[in-house]
Amino acid sequence: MALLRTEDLTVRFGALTAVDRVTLEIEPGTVHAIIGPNGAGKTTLFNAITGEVRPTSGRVFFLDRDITGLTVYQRAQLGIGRSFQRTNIFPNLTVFENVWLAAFARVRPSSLPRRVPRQRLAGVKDRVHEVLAEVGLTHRAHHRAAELSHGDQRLLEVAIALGLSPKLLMLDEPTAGLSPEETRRMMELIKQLAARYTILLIEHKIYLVMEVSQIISVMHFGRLIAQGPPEQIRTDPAVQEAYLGRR
Amino acid sequence: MVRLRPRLGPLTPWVLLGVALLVLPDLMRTTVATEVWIFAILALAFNLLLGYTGLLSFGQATFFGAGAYTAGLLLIHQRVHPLVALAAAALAGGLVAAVVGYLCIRRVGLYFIMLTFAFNLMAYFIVYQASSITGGVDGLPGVPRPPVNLYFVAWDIRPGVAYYLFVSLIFFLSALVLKRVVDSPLGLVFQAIRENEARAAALGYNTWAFKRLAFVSSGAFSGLAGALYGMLFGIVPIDTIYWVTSGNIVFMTLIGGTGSFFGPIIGAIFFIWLAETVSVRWERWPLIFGLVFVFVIFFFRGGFVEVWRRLRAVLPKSGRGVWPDYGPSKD
Amino acid sequence: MPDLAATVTIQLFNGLVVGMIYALIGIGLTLILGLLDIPNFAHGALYALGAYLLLQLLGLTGSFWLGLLIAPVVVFILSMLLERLLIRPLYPVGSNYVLLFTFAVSVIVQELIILVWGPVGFSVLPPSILAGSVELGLFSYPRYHIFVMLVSVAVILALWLLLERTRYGAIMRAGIENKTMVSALGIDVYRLFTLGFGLGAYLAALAGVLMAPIRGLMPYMGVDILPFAFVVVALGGLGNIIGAIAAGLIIGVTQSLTTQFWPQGSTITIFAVMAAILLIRPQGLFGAR
Repeated sequence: MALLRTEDLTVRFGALTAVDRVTLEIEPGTVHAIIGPNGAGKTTLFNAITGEVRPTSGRVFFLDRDITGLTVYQRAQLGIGRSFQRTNIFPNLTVFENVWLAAFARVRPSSLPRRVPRQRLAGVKDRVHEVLAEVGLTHRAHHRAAELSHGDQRLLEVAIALGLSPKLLMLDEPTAGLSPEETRRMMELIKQLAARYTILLIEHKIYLVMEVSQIISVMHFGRLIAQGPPEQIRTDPAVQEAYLGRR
Repeated sequence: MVRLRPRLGPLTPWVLLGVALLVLPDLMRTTVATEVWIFAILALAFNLLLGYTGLLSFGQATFFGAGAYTAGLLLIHQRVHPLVALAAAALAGGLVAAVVGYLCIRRVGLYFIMLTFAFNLMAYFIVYQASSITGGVDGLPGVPRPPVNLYFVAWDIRPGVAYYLFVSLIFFLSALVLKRVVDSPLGLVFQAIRENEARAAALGYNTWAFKRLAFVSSGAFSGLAGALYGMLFGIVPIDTIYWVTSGNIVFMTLIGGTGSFFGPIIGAIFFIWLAETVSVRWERWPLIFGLVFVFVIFFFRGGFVEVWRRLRAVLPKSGRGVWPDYGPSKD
Repeated sequence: MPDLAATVTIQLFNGLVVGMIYALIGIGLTLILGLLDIPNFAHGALYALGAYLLLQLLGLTGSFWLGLLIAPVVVFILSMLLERLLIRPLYPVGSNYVLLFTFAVSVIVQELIILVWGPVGFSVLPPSILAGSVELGLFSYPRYHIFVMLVSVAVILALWLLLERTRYGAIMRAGIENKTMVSALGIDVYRLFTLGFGLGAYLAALAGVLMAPIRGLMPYMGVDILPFAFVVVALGGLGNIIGAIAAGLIIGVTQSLTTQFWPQGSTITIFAVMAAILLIRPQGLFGAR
């Protein structure tokens, strides 16, 4: 059973079709990458999956459940955890608090007053430490998120999504704006995470995508033009044309 | 609710607060001192919306007035126990806030502010027009201060000092409750909404529901303050629901400092001191208030608390952000 | 029922006159809102300032005409200075702070007015040429009211010409629609803000001057009129100038007629409508989006 499935997903903004009848299946336990030239609709696709954007037509299924009508927070509660292309953290809260909010949401996202057992709270704390250790931000745990370097903020960006213990981890250009060394670090992290999470990844750096993913979907002008394992995509003529233009 | 921090945070502010509570009646007239703590509750309640959840509501007087009139009417017509009046006022404030909040939250930014303002205006004119019930522009006179009967104790709160004690207790309890709320996971979620609402939603928090909760909580405490205010002067003036009062509440909270829990209390002290003490010597005291506010806007956006922190920065201290410290418990 | 007809017609006319003044205030406020993206809480104070400066000029020169001409211009200049020196530095800090600053300005101006002119109200008489009434068939109507109508129409026409037929106007309209674009075209957006704020303030002050002989002067007249200015803007659509005109007239007429026939309900209805519009149709009755 596919973890995530889209069916003819289309997102139109007025005259612009950002996502054009995209049908995708994400298998559990895989690293599935979405690539494509700028403006291909990748982030919009993400937004349609997480609910930030309403699709014009088509449907989204998560664990075989139609989530097309659900709000952003409802989808997050189902286990979709997402990081953003532009760093989207809680700047004045500490790194620890940033991740804590994600981990706590897993336990008690509702606003109705209810006691949380002390044990579960302790579990939340443990999860935060776990995640911080995994991404390598333990030493910055009590710093204000805004004070972090860009590279560390990108790590925090991923850490927050991890805090949700998501069933599906969606990473939107995690290496955006990172130095080569930081990019390496992020890639190592993703490889580590691949062992335990299903990852849907948008990336521009093709060599990384080739290295880390099992399946690659290529988008161009909103449409899915190719899909398959890295070696297949590498040699696909349609993909080459999309990136390099007609010869 | 469960706290992340086992204690109420550093003890110093609480000690200072206790000192202030004891000392204030010696520094100013007892009624004025009482008024200080009433507005302190109001400012703390408002800061729950502004400082913690990031909602600049321009209609806090709506809840303050709702509570004041509810309590006033119950006390006058039904001769209820003062604690019942307080509870009813809190309920009224909370209910009004639930309705107003539910509607205003549907919009953000400019529209949100204007909506809170519009509802305040509506409430004011309803009170103005329903003068047979509310006394209209002249206010609701004759609010009694019945004794507080608890088990075998009947505490007469009519003497100024007794009422000061009563209000101080209510204030202190309110402050304790509010501090627990903001130090709890709920408080952190509020702050998350302030910091980045979209991300909070992406984590699974129903941000609308949380904002409504912030409104209701803020409204309840504001209503409570309103009841205390009515009982203080024996009259509920229409000012309690006037939109200029809402503006004053915003002013005093900002002047005190929205980035700390205790800041708004300082703002309330400053405002009431100006309004009641300086006003005797100079009727144009709002001018000072306005000018101080301008000064704060330009130079000390963190309010008096920031002034204090900058002074303390002369001494070595650990560099923390402006916002309330929230770390792991030290168990 | 000639009496009822006469009463209704008079109230209608009154409503239109006051409505035109509301329209002027509303246009000013909506202009500032559209350009600077903030509700100008000082708008009422500027309105009051216009009226009080008229009083001052009347005292100095004895001429209403000079007051009508000069008072709004003075407010125009002062408010541009205010914007340039004190509001502009706040833009990078955040629109909330600009908003709060205008609120502070309203308090300060209010107190200054009382400081200078005292806490007691004043009445202002229209100039002798405009005193008295004109016979209009069924009833007689004050000349001054008709004058206000004509002046308001003239000003609104002039404004329309400015906005629709001049380059400055086009820039201003574009600025309301899309500031980034205007800036990208190389136009100094900040100067546009200053001008826009000044123009809005001018209209508010003019409204104050025109209203003075009708309602008199009171120190809190600014605070009193502000809510209505906001209703006009909400009803007409934030940033929508035509909408503000229509809304002003609607509010004026509604207020006038309901005060006559249902005094209790009038103001509440107005603000209920404002809330409803903001909730259901935020682009206002006349906005398109």
